[in-house]
Amino acid sequence: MKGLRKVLTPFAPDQSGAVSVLYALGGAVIIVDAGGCTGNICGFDEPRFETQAAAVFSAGLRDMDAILGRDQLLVDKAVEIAESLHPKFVALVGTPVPAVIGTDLKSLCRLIEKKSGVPAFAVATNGFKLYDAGCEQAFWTLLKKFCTDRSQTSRKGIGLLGATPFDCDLDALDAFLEAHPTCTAYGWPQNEGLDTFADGASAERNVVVAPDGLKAAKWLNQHFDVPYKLYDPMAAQFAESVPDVSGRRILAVHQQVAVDSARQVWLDRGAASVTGATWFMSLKELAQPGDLKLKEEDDFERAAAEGGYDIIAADPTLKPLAKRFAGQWIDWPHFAISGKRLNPHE
Amino acid sequence: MSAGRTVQSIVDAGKDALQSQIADTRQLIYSSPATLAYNSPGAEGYGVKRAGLAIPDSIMLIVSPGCCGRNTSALSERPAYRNRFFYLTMDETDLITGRHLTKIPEAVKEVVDFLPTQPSVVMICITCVDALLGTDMERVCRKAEEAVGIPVRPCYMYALTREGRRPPMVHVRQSLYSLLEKRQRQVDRVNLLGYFGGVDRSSEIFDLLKAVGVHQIRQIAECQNMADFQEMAAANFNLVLNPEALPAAEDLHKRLGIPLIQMQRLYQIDKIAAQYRAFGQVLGVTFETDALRQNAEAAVDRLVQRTAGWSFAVGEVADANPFELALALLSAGCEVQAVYGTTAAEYWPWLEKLAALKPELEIYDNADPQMVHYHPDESGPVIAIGEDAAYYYSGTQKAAVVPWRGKTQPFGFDGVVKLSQAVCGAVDRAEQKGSTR
Repeated sequence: MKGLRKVLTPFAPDQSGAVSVLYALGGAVIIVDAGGCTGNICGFDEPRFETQAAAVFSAGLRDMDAILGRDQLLVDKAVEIAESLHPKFVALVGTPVPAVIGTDLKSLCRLIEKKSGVPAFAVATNGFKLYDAGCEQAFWTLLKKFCTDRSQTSRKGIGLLGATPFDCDLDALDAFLEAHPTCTAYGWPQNEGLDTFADGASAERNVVVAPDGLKAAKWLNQHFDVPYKLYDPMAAQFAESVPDVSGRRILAVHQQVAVDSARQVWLDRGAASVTGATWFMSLKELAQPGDLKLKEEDDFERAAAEGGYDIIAADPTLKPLAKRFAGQWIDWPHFAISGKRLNPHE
Repeated sequence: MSAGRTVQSIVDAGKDALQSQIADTRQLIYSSPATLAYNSPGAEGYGVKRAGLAIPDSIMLIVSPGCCGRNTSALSERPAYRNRFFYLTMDETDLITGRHLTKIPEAVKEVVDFLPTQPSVVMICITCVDALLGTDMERVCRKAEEAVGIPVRPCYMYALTREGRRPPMVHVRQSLYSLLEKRQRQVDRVNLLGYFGGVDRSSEIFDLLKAVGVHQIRQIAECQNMADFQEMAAANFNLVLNPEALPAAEDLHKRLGIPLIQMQRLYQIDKIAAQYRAFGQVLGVTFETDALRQNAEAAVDRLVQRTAGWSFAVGEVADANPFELALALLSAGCEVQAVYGTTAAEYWPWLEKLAALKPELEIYDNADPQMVHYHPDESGPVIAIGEDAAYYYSGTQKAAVVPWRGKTQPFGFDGVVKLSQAVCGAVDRAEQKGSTR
């Protein structure tokens, strides 16, 4: 049945994606919910939550707020936070509740900004979409809000767009940035990340490591002529580490930029074919004939059983759906699917 | 702006002003790592999802947008919950048309057919979205029940009603106990209602009840199967140990004629004794508690001696009410420097007594936005009770950490003894660790 999950749990939602982008920027992030969504995001989808405290709040909506539409109360709460904590910005992140009652988050942000003097913006997620939709909207909104001019006359540095804990392991990303000092990841590191958006116009070029960074990259390209390319260097590193791919047919399941970057490596190393599959955004730019867009559990089950693959590289959470697959399974963790770190320390 | 308030300032403001700001939604709620288990029921503790599966061999279908079911994977990986959570994910069209409701009976049937053995009950968990849509889930459950021929019950994960008349953790208990079917009441049977993990069998309450002729004491946590659970319908009375179970007990009184008696978990020894006396009077018996009381008093004496020079920080993410526990510790002669908990009108008597004993005692609300930058006072050695207090003090120079949060619940004099032992053990370990530095 469409929408029925018997084996998998739901993947990371858009509101988690939005908070992931905003988490480390020194702002006050207000999740417009009753508390449960905030618990889900902080308690499960945000791996930095336990080690890097951030000003993430629940609006604490109650039934009377929904019935009476007490938007002014939310504005007052947000202004109080802006005046007492002096955050770099106030962000309202949408959830199913404001989506159902039709809260105009953008208008509330205008009021908050006017009253407090602190920049305020909304990411109108609704909890029905997937994490990448929230990341995409947050990246784009941050650039529109804070990247208003080119601060430096000469271009310098390479920006990684789309790097969030959902797609990139935190340690792997830190290691990559340390090994490549000319690279900066938008939104990185903790509490200084907002500058990376403000300086976005001065980047020499951008590397889009996940599909959710593409809209922001295109915006920077249109407005400030910053070129970009789609490539996930960490996925390429992963692909290099997989042994014995020569002559073999591979099904690669991840976000699409990661899949494409791994595919290039495996084909260069002699793989017979690499079929890309993703549960998430599909970009025309990267689509290859035969690639799969997955939606239901059956889609993956069928592909694994009937695709004739020698290797499947995918998040281990998907493995129970591949009972009829007789080939080699390679774990390729994806936090957006399993909620598990790529290189867990524990 | 300071994150804490003195207990005296709270009492001075009066009982009417005590209504929690959070309950009144006048401020944002800080999602603190200190209260992770509290905030995120899927991660730890008993939230609606875990509580809804309290009946053995039951399963749950979560009907919601994907965001509501996301963290359930943390639970469903545990052996006890494997193959028990299923999802019918709503999309935006469902929100507008409500078509997901018509799919539920079919989805329930598909899940039941998918399982190798038939579940005892199917719980349908719905969330804020259906609360706002005004879904009649009772009716949908009846339809689903017709489709599969086993009980199907609703379970409302409505965070919007968290401080309402029937909050989710109250309603889920009502839903579960609504499955009990009328039986002949047996004079020697009692149910303990309130804790999903059950009361620790080492508690004296079991022996005290047996001594007055109660031979079967049932708790939902100890039921092995549906037949076992149905035996709870034959209880002579229900002993309600957690106020969240009171409406369910009242339902059972009305529906099955099972009367109820309320007790609460306390750490003040004189109050525990008084509670047993009152309980005995209601039953027309006398509970022999003198030796138990003396044993608890001796344990507390040892605690006071062992913790001389230490100060307590008492949190709310613990198997205790932090205000009552702080009062018990202060009354016994311990030093308490901070309490982490949300004040509420029902705690007023304890707050008044705390103010009389130590007016400068600091009270912190974990969910207060000002707690973002909170760092505890590190002036001396601290015993942190509760997972939230443990979070704040775990990195400090000299701290003895007592999470005091178990699967089964401490109760009565036994709880006092066990807590005293746990604190003394933690102080021993902290001092050993300090001396080897």
